[in-house]
Amino acid sequence: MLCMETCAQHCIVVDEELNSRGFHPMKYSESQRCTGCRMCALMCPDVCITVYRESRTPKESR
Amino acid sequence: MKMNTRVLMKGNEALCHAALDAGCFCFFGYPITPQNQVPEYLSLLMPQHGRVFLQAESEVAAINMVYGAASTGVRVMTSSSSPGISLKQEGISYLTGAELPAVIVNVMRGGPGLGNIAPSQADYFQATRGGGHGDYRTLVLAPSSVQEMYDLTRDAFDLAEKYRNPVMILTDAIQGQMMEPMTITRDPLPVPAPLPWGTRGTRKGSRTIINSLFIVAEELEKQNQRLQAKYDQMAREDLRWQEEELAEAEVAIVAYGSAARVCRTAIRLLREQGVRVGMFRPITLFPFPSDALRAVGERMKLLFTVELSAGQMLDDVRLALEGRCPIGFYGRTGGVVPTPEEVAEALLAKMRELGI
Amino acid sequence: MTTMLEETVFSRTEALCDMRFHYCPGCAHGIVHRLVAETLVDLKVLDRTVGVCPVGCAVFAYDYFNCDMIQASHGRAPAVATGVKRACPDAVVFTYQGDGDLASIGMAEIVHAAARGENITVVFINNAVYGMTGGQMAPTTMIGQQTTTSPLGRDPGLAGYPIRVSELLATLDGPTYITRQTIASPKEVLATKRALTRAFQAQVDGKGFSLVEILSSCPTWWAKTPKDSLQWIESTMRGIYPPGVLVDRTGYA
Repeated sequence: MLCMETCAQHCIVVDEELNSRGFHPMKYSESQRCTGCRMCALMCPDVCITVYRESRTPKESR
Repeated sequence: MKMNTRVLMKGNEALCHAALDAGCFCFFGYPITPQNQVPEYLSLLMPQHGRVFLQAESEVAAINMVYGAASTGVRVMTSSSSPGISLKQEGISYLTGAELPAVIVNVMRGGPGLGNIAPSQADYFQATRGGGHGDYRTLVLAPSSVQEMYDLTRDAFDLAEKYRNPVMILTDAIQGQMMEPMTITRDPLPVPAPLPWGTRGTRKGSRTIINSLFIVAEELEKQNQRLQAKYDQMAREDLRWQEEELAEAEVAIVAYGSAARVCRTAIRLLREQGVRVGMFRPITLFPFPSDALRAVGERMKLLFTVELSAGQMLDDVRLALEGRCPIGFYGRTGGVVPTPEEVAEALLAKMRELGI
Repeated sequence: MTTMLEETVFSRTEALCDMRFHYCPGCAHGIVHRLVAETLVDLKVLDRTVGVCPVGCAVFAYDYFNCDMIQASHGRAPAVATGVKRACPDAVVFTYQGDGDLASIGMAEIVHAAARGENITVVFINNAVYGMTGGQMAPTTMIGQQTTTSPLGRDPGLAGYPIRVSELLATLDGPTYITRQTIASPKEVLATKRALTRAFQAQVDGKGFSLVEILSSCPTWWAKTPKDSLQWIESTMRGIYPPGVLVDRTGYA
C-alpha cells in the first residue's frame, strides 16, 4: 500500500477483487487527478507500476 | 618450465611450477605451515607471469575467492594444510554443488586440532569422503615424489575442468619440504581462454547463474544424481594406481604418498630376508582403485596397509577386498614417521601371526 | 481529429527479470533491487555486470537481476566478488548483502575487501533483524529491540551493542565511497538512487571500493505495517544509524 500512502492526489485505492496471490492489490481510481509524478512507482516494492501520460496531437489540417 | 628441463626442487615449489605451467590464472591462499612456500613463491611468480596472486584474510576467504574466480571460468588454485582445509569445507561443498572446477592442495600435518607441523596422512577421510556437508566427492590425487607433485598437479587442472568438480592434491609435510630431482615432460601451457559459461557478463551472449541452491527437493535430487554420475565416470575413466614387484609376490603392502616411500625401503629389507612382498600404491584415493586391489588381493596371503594415521585408507582396503584376503595394518600418528625397519618388523609379526 | 499518444513516465527496468519477487508485502528489498537494476542500465554496464547474492531473504536475487549472478555462502560475498573482480577486472561486480550476512558471519570479509580497496560495489541492506530465518537478533539490532532471540529486548549486558558498519569501515584507508541512505520516502529513495549511481560510477572509473548502506524495512519481523515500518526508520533507526556520506574519495562533484 506504499503507493496509496504516498500518492499526493489520493488516486490509488484498494481493489475489491483479489489477485492470484490472494491479496487485494492497489488500483488506479481513474479519477483524472493523476499528475504523472511517479512517486507511487518510486515506492512500489514490487515494481509493478507503469506511469504514462496521454497527450493529444494537433488536428490535421486538410 | 620448458619440456626436458631437469631440476632439483622442493615439493612445494614443484606445485607452484605445475600450477603456472598448467595455465593457472589465479591463486588465493593463506599462510600455514608446512605449505607456506606455496603462497610465498606464487606471490612472486604469479605477477611475473601476468597472473593473479592474493593473500586472503583466512582460508575461508581464500576458498570463497576461488569460488568467485572459478565462476568466471578461469583456472584457479588454493593450498593449505589440515586445519586450513577444515575451514575450507563449506566452500568446497559449494564448489561441487555449483559444479565449478578448482584445484585444492592439502599439505597434511599432524592433527587433530592444532596438532603440529610434522607430516601425517590423517586427512584421508576428510579428503575422500567429501569432507564437507552433502553427497559429494572431490577427485583426490596422492603424489609420492616431487616428480608427482608436479605431474599430478598439472593433471589436476585438466581433470577439474573435465568434470567441473574440484580436484584435491593430497600430500604431506615431507613431500612439501623435501628436495628431489624432477624432469618436465611436457611444455607449459599459456593461460587458456575462460570457459564459455564463465560469469563475465551477459555480453558473452548468454546469462550464467552459479548456484547450488535448489529449493525444490526433486530438483536437488536431480542435481545430486548429476554429481553421482560424474563420480561414476571418474571411477571408469580416471583411476590411477601403481603396482610394484607384485607379479610373483605373496604379500602386498598397500600405501600411498610418503608412507609408500618408507614401504619401498621396507620391501628391500623384507626381500633380503626372502619375503616375496610387493606394493600396491593407490594414486587416485577417490575414486579408489577397488577392482584392481581386489584382483591383487585374491592372489595374496596378506594385504598389509601402512599409513601415517590410525588407519583411514584401511577402510577402503577392507571395502575393496570384501573379505577375500587377510588384512594387516601398521601406522603411526601425530606426525611420527615410521622407519622402514619398524614397518618390516610389523609385517613379519603379522605374517607369523597368520602362519604365512 | 485527435489522437491519444502515450509518453511513458516510468516503467519497470529491463535489468529486472520478468519475475514476481518473493519478498513480504511492503518489504523494501524490491525498491532497492529496482534502484540497483536501474543504475546498471543508466551506466550502460548491464552486460558486463556480475552480481553476488547472499544467504538471507535476497538469496533468490539470482532470479531477479537480469545479469550474470553468483550465489555465495553466508557472509562470503565480498570474498567471492574479489575472486570475480581479480579474475575479470573489466566486469562490474556488486554484492547485495543483509545485516547478518555482512556484519555478523561476513565481518572479516567485508573489512578486508574494504581495506584492500577492492574495486567492487557493496549494497548493504540494514533492517536490524535476520529476516529469512525468522526474525532473530542481528549485529545491527538496537538496544531494547525485540527479536526472536532477544525476546525481552536487546540487553547490552548480555548481547552487547549494535555495530555501525559504515563508521567502522570509514576508519580504513582502503575505501573510496561509503554512504548510508534510507528508502523511507520518495525523497530518500531518490537520494539512495543518486548514492548507488555514484558508487557504481566509482567502480566503472576504477576508483576502488564503494559501499552503500541502506536502512531498510522488515514489516513482518518488526510487526509493523509497511507504512509504520518506513516511519520507524525515520523515527528510530536514523538516530542510531545517521544517514550521510562517511567517505568520499571519488573526486566527483
